[in-house]
Amino acid sequence: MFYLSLLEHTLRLPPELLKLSLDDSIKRELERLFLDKVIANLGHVVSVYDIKSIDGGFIYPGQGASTYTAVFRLIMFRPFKGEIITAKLKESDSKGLRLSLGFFDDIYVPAHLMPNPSSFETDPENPQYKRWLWIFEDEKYPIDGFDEIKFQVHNVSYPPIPIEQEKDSKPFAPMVITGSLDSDGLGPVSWWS
Amino acid sequence: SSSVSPLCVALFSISVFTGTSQGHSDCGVETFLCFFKADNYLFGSLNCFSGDENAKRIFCRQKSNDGALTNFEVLDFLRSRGATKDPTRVMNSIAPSEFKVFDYLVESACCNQTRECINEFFDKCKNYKLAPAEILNIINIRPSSVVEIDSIMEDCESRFGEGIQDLVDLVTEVLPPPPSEPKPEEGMEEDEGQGQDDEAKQGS
Repeated sequence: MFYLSLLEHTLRLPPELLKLSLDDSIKRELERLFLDKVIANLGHVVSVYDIKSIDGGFIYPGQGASTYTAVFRLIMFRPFKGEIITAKLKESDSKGLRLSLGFFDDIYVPAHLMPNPSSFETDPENPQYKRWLWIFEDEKYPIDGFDEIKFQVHNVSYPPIPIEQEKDSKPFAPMVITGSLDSDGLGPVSWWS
Repeated sequence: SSSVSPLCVALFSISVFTGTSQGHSDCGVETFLCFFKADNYLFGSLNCFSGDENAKRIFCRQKSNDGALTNFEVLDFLRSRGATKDPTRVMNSIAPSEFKVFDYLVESACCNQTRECINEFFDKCKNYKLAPAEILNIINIRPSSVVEIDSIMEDCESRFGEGIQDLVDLVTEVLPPPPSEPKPEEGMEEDEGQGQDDEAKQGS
């Protein structure tokens, strides 16, 4: 799930951080820039792992702060295809499921990757709610939000940033994981215990 | 604005070297499974997805994949920075987003693991000839039954046949169980109780 990536970046150190030591202030600035953001094809930044080198410290004409070039490693969250991850159910609708890891919410299991055969039916106890059921050997197994769901990563995509968005559309997700439940051992943990 | 700064080009040409990504002994950090083949020093100028004006600068990646980390290593790193389960969270050294990762990891199978047991598992599973991705999956999930391990492996039947139970036994013996797993005797009763409840619910 997690990888290290080595990056190099030239950054300007804001003067309010000068009271800290150089390492701490560069680290703080890198965290402000990168933490919890997505870098295309590298993944979602979890943490700054370490700083390998810091160079520079020049103040360019016209600027009020010194510029440093830092080489550092970041911990990236980037699941690989075929990885099995345990997540919690966030939403479920006729198009599929949406799962969440707490720190990452854009995991979708579309209807065609649900265990075959399944259907989306009304819950007999709560008529207003609908949920997914897996029909296996004449038994119906529901996917409700009680326990954790294991899914296999089918694809990780990084959609390009849209130029415009409609007013009430879903907020843009820079990294989307598509998961599959269509295999032995996947789905809610209670199905297999 | 995807222009390439000359500084990046110069650094890229200096930093090309043909190592595999094994053994980062120079950095003083032990990473276990850094034998994934590194994407060869992908270099590109990208804009970070952030709304900060100052951050819309070019940075270059020297190495996209500097080694894979098991969940345990990330948890260990966060713990060494000071993350705890304490709900008040007064520590300033960890950002809220890092705490969310910590919360997820501390409830998963890796919270009771230690470096020694992972090293031990790594040595003992060499005779099974597992792919690196499979070893990583096993360490992160800690499957306790054949059906769980079947989803991780490719061609489980043809590669192992009956020997798969030995691998499951090795996993349960070497790696500690995840926090929520009940003891076997209590587990059986609870599972059977839940099974009956589920069937009763569906029948009604």
